[in-house]
Parts: sequence; structure tokens; C-alpha cells
Amino acid sequence: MPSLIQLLQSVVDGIANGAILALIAVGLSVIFRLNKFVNVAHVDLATVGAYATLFLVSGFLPVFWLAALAGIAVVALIGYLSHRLVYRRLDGQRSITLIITSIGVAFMLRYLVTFIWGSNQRSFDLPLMRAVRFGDIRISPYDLTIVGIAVAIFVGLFVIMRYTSLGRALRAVADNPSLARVSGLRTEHLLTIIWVAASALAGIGGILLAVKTVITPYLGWAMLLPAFAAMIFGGVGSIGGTFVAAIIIGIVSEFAAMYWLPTYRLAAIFGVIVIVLLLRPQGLFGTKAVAK
Amino acid sequence: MQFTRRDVLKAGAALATFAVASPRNVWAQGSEEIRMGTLCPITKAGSIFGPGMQKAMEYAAADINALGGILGGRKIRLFSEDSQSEPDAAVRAAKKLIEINHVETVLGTWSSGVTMAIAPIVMQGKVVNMNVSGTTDLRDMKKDDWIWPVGGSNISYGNMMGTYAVKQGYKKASFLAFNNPSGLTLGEEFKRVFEKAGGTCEVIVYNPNQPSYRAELTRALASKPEVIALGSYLPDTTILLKEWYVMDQPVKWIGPIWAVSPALIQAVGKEASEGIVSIGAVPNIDSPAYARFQERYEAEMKQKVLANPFAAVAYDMLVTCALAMEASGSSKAEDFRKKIREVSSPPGKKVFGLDEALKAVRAGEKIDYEGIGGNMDFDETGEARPYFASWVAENGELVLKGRVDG
Repeated sequence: MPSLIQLLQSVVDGIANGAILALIAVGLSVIFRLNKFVNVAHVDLATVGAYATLFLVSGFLPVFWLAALAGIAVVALIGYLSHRLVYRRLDGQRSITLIITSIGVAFMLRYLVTFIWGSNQRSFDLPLMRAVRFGDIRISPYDLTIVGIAVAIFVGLFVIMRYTSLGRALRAVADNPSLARVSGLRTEHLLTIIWVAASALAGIGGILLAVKTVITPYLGWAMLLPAFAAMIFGGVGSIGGTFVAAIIIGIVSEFAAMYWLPTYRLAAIFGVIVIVLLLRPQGLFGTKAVAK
Repeated sequence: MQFTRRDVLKAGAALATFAVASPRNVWAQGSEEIRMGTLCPITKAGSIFGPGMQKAMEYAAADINALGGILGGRKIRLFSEDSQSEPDAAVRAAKKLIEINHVETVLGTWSSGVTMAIAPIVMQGKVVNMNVSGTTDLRDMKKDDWIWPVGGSNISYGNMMGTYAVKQGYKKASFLAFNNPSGLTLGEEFKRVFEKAGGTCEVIVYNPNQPSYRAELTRALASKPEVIALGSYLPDTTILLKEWYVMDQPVKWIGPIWAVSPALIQAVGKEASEGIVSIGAVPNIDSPAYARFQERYEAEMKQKVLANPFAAVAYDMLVTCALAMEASGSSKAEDFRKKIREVSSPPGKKVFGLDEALKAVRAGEKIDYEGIGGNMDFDETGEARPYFASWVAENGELVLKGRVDG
């Protein structure tokens, strides 16, 4: 018989896993909303973020958080370049063309990482820490940090999108780029900002994931399916929806492993998603227009 | 420029002549060099083993060539491909080795998925495969002397881990099994051995590539076991140990050498790894030929031989094939595969060195080649079981504790 403590522990662990997923998935979702394609290479940016940080922390920037910031900047730069040099030039092409192109970019990034750092697993040289106890609930200090960072970022995104002129402009571009352009908004400039921000968030997600796990060239790739699920589940383009969906996915995954079978995590996640989508095809917070 | 029909016919005839002259029948019959292929996991999951295995086979080929070659002075030429530790890439590479390079062997495949994927290809292509894959499917399948597992099956590993746990006096265990044939077989065999000795064991199966294994770990610890055994790989074991350390619940750990390796100790640190036990194949340290191999391997690869359980046995793969070629008088896999068991398994005069073995075979003696990686004694299923040993992580290092006999 599962105890209440076990249940709460699963919720806590699910939130920590979901927080990382949310950071990676939100960029995928926003870019899908804007450019109407699944940017497969987005999850590989998470991998690049981890490796760039590892490289910097092992050499030029031995202070981890400084190296992480620089790593995020590297990923943002790669996101900017991929937008300017690849995807912008394919603007107006069919979605399938863009998806295939993004698969190509994903492979290029992954094999570049493999070429430079090899296939062997690596990890950040961070000290292991015992759990912080809240009664019988045990939370890793790293998980606490991860959830704190994710919540802070999503609150920041919410405030920017809701209460600033930049946010209003970004929402206008996301809703209808053509109308935004004729209204005098610098849509190209705004699109670039979105690509850079989405890439940076993937980089943050990748670094936090690497803190919890190990760094391999497939670090981000393993998150593609859950990130895609969070995007659809939360509603394409919805920042808050992606966050909530990712947290639910994290919790459902932990429940499945704890109370059903660990090998059925994905089955449980997609089972829940199918049920929700049958009731709300546009996802939790999506709009019907986007769903179509 | 215009082509007449005669030109086209001439070109076609020339191409046909080239096509008939080029394939493997020319190489196999007339050429000096003997083409042997290697297919090790140079990249991805098995990359900690593959480069060392390939290097060991290069040593074996160089040693044979330095002794004047085999079959009247024919030298060995290696063709090496990377399996990428994955079945689809391995299949492409095996086809290339067989169809383009016309090799007689595909040696050094690692991981059950890879070897099972290329098994029909090597049998159809009539080349010999020696591998370090452990699935029971390999033991049970009809191999007809084409396929030879030499790295220790998962049954052997599960048996040794179970035997070790029983000898420590443990009565309650949990087993965390990676969801693939290797992990599942290890778990089943560990449980069988452990429960036969009066213990209880719960097997928990998990999927790879997860950001966390906390739920699996909680389930494994729920029955308050004295020991958790692992049928896992390095990345998932690293995450499991990190999370276990955070949870701060005391338990002993046992795992196979490919998961509990020096890389694991480096990844999780000495505090989290202290006391964890590794069970693995160990080279034939008593072989007089071992010391020389160890010296040059460690100097060149900057890796301890003991850190790569498959390097020494990879050397034996190539040597055994060469001895079988010499004994059969043919470099064709179809012929020498029938002599593999004869030159390496009892009965016969035990020989350790390559030079000694070749001389004995040429003198028509019946030999039992004792490799530097294992004894290469093939059982009735065609599997050679290596020697096993245990290591314990002490102060940030895996310390060899001695042989384990099951």
C-alpha cells in the first residue's frame, strides 16, 4: 500500500524533472507557433549548452555559474546563427522542408559535439550533496535549485509577455506575423529575439539536466519526445501551458514508475495526453486556431 | 564524342572481366594477404571498450605478421569498422566489410543487440564472428561454428554476481535491470542463484535515457534489501548512484564491470562509490604472454588492461582464428571455422605463446590455446567463458580482490 509520504515524494521528484522539461519544451513550442514547424535541433541545443559549459568550466571559467552563463550565451549565439543562416532563408517553405532541415542541423550539432568531445560520458565536477529533509520528504539541493531557477524564469517570461511593450509586440508577432508587420512592428527583429531566447532556454535546460545526470551527445535528444508531448499537451505557443504540462508529465511519469511499472512511464504520459486532447484538442492552454 | 555499339560492348566486356576478377574469390585464393575484419564499438555506449579491443587485435595481427605470417608466409591485413554500439550502424558496417572488403572475419562485436543484428549477415556471408555479447539467445541459436561468444554471457555474469552476493551472506536483495535482453537475463540469473541459496530478490526493470531513476530506486529500497545488484550500463548507473547518495539510505551495491568501472568512480566520486563491488571478466594473468600485452597496451592506450575487460580477449579472438587457419590449411572462413574449437579447447597440449602455438600446429600437434584474455575453452554451445574476479571501490579506486568461481 503506497504511503502518503511516497506519494508526496513522487510529486516532488516529478516537479523537479518537469521543471527541466519545461525549460526545453517552451522554446520548441514558441518556435512551432511562429514558424509552423517542429525544430528538431532545439533539443540538441540543450546538449550543446551542457558541453559548452563543461568546456568553459574545465578551462577559462572555473566558476561554475559563470561558465554556465557563458555556455547559455554560446547556445543563444548558435540559435541566432541557425535562424539567420538557415531557417530565415527557408521562410515560406513547406513545414516538412523545415523539419527535414532541422533534423540536418540536429545531426550536425550532435556529431560536432561527438567529434570534439567524443562519446564517453562526462559530468560536471560538482560535489554530491545529501538531501534536504522536510519531514520524511527528501529533496536534493540541486533539485531545489533547478525548480527555483525554472520558476523564476517562467515568472519572468510571464511578466515580460504580459506587462511590457516587448511582450505585447512578441505576442502580436506570434498571433499574426503579417498583421504585425503591416502594423509597423519590426517582425524580423522580434523573431530573432524569440529564436535567441528560445535557444538560451534550451541551453539552460541542458545544463540543469546535465547537473542531474551525465553529459553525452544524446543528452538533449532523449528529451525530444517528452518535450514534444509537453508542447502539444500545454497548447502550442502557450508558455504557461507548456510549464504546467511539463510539470504534469513529470509527476505522471513518477507515479507510473512508482505505482505501475517503471517501464510504462511513457505509456502513462501519452495515455493522459490522449485523454486530455480528446477533451481539449488544442491542449490545456492552446487556442483552437493554432491547433488547426 | 560519340559511342558506337562496339565501344559499349567493349566497355561492358572489360567491366565484366574486372567484376569477375575482383571479388573475394581472387583475394581468398591467390593473394598473399589474409583479410580479417574487426567491428568494435569505437563510438557511443561501448566506446570505453572498442578502441582498446581494436588495438588489441592490431597487436595480434602485428605479432603474427612479425613471426612471418601464416599459411606459408601470408600476412594478415585488418579492415576495421565502427559498430557505433548500435545495430543499424553495425549492420551497414558488417555488410561493407563482407561485400566490399571481402574479409573472412568480423571480430569484436559488443552488445547483444549488435551481435544479434549482424548474426544472419555473417552466417549468410560465410565469415566468422567472435564477440563479447552476452545474450542467452546467442547461446541458444544454431551457430554452426560461425559465431563464437567469448566475453562471458549474461548468464555467466548474473551467476557470478549472485554467487558473490550469496558468499557475502546477503539474504535480501533487489535487482535493478536495464530494459534489454542483457539486463533482464542478468536479473533472472542473479535472482535464480540468490533464491536457490535461500535469499529473496525483487527485480525492478527500468528504461534508459531518463533524467531521474528516483522512483525505481525508491522501489528497490522499499523492501529494505542488504544489497542492490545492477544489470545496467555506465550512464544509468552513474545517475542511480548519484540519486542514491542524495537519498542517504545505506545499502551495498554489486554491478558488472561495464557499469561499475573506473569511469563510474570518476563520475560519482570516491564518497558515493565507496564499497561498491564490481564483477567482471579478468585476463589470464597466469599466462606468460600476458605481461607483454599488458605493458604495451597500457603504455599506448593509457588505460589499464583491467579497466577494459574485453581488450585481452580481443587479442585472443584474432590469434585463435589465425591458429585455426593454420590448422585447416586455409584462410577461408568456411574451412577454418571447423578448427576453432580444436585449436583452443581441451584435449590438447596447453600452449600460451603465439610462437609456441604456431609451431605446435605446424608440427601437427593437438593444442589447447590458452589466451591472455581467457582460456578460450568453448563449451558445447560454442561459448568460451572467461575468468571472473571481483573488485571493490576503495578510496576512489577499484581494487582487485581476486577470482570469483561460480
